[in-house]
Amino acid sequence: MSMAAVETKKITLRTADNHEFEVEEAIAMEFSTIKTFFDENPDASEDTIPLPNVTSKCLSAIIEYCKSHLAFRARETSSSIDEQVRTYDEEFVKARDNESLKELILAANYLNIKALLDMLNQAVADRIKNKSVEYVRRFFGLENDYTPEEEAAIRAENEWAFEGVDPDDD
Amino acid sequence: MEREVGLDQLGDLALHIILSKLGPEDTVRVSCVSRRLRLSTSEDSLWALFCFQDLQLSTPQDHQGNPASSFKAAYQLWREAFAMYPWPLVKRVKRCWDKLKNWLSNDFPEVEATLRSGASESDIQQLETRLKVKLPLPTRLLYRFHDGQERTDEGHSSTWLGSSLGIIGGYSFYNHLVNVYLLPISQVIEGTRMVIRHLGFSSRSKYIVVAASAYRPKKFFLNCTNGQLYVGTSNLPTDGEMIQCVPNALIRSVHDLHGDQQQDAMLLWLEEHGRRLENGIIKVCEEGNVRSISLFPEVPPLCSTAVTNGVQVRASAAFVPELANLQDSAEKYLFAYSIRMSLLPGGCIIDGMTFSSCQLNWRHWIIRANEAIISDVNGEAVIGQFPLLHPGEDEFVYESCTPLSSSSGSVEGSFTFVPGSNGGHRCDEIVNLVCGIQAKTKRKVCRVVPGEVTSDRQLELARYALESIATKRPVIVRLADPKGRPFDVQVARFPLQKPDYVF
Repeated sequence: MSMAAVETKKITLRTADNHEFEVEEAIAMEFSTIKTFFDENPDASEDTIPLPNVTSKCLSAIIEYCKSHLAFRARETSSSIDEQVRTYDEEFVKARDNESLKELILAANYLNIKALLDMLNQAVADRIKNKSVEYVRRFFGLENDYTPEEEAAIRAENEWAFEGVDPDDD
Repeated sequence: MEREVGLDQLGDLALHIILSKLGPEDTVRVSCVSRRLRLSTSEDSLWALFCFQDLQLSTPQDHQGNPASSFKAAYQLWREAFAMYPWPLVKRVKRCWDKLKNWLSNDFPEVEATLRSGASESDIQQLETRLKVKLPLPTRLLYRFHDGQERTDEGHSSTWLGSSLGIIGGYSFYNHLVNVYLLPISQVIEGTRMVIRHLGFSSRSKYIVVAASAYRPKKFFLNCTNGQLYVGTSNLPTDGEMIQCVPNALIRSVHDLHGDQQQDAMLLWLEEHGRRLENGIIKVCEEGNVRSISLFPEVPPLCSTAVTNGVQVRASAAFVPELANLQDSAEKYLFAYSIRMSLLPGGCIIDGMTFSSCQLNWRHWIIRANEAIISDVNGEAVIGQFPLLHPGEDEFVYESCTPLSSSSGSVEGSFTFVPGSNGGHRCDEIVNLVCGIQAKTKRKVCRVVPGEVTSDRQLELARYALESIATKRPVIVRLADPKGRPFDVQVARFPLQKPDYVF
């Protein structure tokens, strides 16, 4: 790929809701889906990449995440950097509700950003750990399609799994 | 349809990762949410991960080693088999046995083969009913995994075949030979009843015999009320005197199903034993043709090593609780020690000259109680022998013992060696020859001073012996024809220390 003399190269991305984002090449390369695309089509670097499965809200959050993590990695590894990374990740997920978490997971999955996906999955796991079946049902927005007998049978078969569950907050 | 992001779009990969982070209990709860989710939770690769994390299983099997149809089924069987116990304790007990068995499979498979399969809940119930005790939780679990050791001869004959296979191991010095086995429930019941009868323990006593030596009367007792382990001293038959085997402060919640981190002395004791084996602090040793686990430490700081002029001496001690006498202030404790000496491959080097053998003449031994010297002796030989060392041979090992008034002390010393040269005869053969003559004539023929002997000298010696018989006078024969000057070999100081964990 040709390197521009002074400017760092920028890639243009178009989201599902038709917003265009210009990102530095380094950040775009964090999205493995896009990296693979460019590896296979080296001449396509000037084109705008469509992302029909990603909203602008998600993309801007993801770009922020990748920018920050790139900056962390550029610095020398140390325990204080690790601490800062942990704090950043915690803040990143703390304020988001369950819905936006799920949207981010979908986007990270589609864009194939491994570290972000892992971090988001852990956040979801933390939110439903030790919670009741009803809570998890509401979290995933699912209907219970078991008959009462079927559900009772699963519980009876696996008594060991139903001890020590947190009481639901609401 | 809802505005919400439905589960179907979350992606199987993301869901799989979330479930693996949640762990087995939460995964089962998720399977109750809906049929769709149940599919994801049934993936066997997920349960393979849980089986590995919790139980270090790499193939699906139940707790008795029978193959299971899938990892999910295996995990289920394990949880059901141990449903009456706190799961973290089950995992911990399994890790304890695994550590011991891993070491055994590498270093002493004959002992691994003696481990009986796990007792059932009803076996344990029988023990509790017959002996009127309630076993501490960790000990129950230990028996659920393995019901003690099999001994090839369950009778009381004086020579037991295979009785050097005790998993706890032991030591031997003079004629005191110890090798400790973990008893199966049947022997626990029988042994405890015998103890109650013969030692006059109350029939309501909460002590049960859990481990014992095949030879000498060394017995370990578990107190079922407080979860502590004890070993009988020399005063056991008269006073029921015992020494505790594990630091008291570590024992907790032994009967509390809902307690946090239950641990009793039996579990702590076996964990410590596994740690010592794994780290090579104690090893398998061979004496004659018999292999057994030796309790003499092999590494510093408990084992000292010193090399002088090519002669290496390693030395360490073991606490002997069954010969302790807590009522005797002067000789309260007894320590056995093992001295191993060898000549390094380079041979014996003195004043720039190399010798291919050397022989021990003399011993200087200093014993301390705390820092005070209580014994400083010189003498000939070690346990009546004059070891002759050649380069690259197996170590010459001997054991002896010393009483001590305190729980802490040390031993150090030196051996005087005489260097020899190539060839020649072993001195002990000559000694035997002379002793034979002495025995026949029933007279002290001569005092033998060891060293290197050639065949010429053998004739000479025989001549001296005959002369002495004729003249009825003792004749001193210096067999020593030293090719170099005698030299002192250091026995570096090694500790005598009553340990926190008593085996």
